[in-house]
Amino acid sequence: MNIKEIIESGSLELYVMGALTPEETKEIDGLRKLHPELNEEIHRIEDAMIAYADSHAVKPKEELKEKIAEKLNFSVKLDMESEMVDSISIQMPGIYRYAAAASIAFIIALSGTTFYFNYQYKETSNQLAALQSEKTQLANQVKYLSGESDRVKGELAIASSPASKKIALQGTKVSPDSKAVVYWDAASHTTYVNSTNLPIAAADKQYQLWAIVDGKPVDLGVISKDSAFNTMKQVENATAFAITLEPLGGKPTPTMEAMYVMGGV
Amino acid sequence: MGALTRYLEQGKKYDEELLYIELKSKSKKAFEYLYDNYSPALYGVILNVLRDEESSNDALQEVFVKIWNNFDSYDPLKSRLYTWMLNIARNHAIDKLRSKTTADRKDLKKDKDFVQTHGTQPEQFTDGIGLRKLIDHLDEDQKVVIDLLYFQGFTQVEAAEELNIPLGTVKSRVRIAIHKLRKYFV
Repeated sequence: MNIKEIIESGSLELYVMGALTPEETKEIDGLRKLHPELNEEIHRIEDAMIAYADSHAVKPKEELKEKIAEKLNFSVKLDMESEMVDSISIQMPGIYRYAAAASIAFIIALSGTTFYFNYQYKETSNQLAALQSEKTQLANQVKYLSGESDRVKGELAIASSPASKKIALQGTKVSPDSKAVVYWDAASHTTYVNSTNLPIAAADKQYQLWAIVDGKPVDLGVISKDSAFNTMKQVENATAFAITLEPLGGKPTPTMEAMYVMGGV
Repeated sequence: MGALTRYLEQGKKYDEELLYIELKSKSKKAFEYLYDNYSPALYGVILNVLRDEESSNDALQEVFVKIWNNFDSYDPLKSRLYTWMLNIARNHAIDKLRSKTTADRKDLKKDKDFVQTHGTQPEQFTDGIGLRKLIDHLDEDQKVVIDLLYFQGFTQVEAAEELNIPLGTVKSRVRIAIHKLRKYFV
């Protein structure tokens, strides 16, 4: 199954809802690491499910907050106000009294230092944890951006390749302002489409690219709803290209009334 | 504490990265922020699963303890923090439901209206009200599938059997439903 088919299969939705078998879940865990577009799709589904959960939100009773707080361990900042010494008053003669006082003072000082260092230690490890997580996030951003940059480079290479023929598709009566560009590789016969200037398709609709070969439409595949630049199927001897708006997943033959753009080679 | 305090002072809505850092520190302030912002959604999920206020109150407490104590096992690369918490709430509630009653699931259907009636009480979280209307954009068929999978923890096979529809239909209904949600919510 290719990425597009996986995205369109409904499996990712079930994945986010936790309704896949452990094996299927594992498979998608692996695939999303390799394919950023899969990962992005998963994030968007997550957002939808978050919104769905939000829409069912119910405020719990006020007293639950305190009840829960009692059950949790919080990190505490220690106040070094020890009053325990004041209560120790023992009757002791002469030097012992001073010795006892000195010992107590020493113990207080020692435990104070211990608490202090312990506190410092906790603070430092918290900061370290925070920095580590920031580092991970930055690393992820770098990874994402370098992926994006690779993608853009790839698109540029296709658009500027001498083997690529650029075909501008103009809006039809259905949508006069629409435009799209097809790049057609003369050597590999692969087609690419840039659909930036098409209106956003409704949730249950999707654009589909067609080539006209010998006067007949040939299906070149549906255009992903999530990225503007797409690699489509190969075709030889096309005389024109057109894009129609079809139900999700596309149709075997084009709906002529829903043709948005077309252009001759 | 600094980052979160600054954030709160600016009056912005949650920011997962900051919350993540604060939760790592386990401060009381982080808990309060977590609770104030996320408890209605977590509680809503739990209520929808258990459909009983008393056991939902217990479950909410258990869920917060789990989130607090297992925070180190959260992997930011795998899911959003919010999703992770919602899944803990949902899975915990479903486990609780299954251990509580081995009786068949048909009992649950009697309580189908619980959520709706509960939702009209003054306890209803205000942010949810506007969104609730948007769910009406889903067809009844689509709502039923999502509720079975998400709130009752059915697998897709179980859902297909329950509704007496082919497996592929379960998938396509879910996909269309979530697409609709994406359009309105995101």
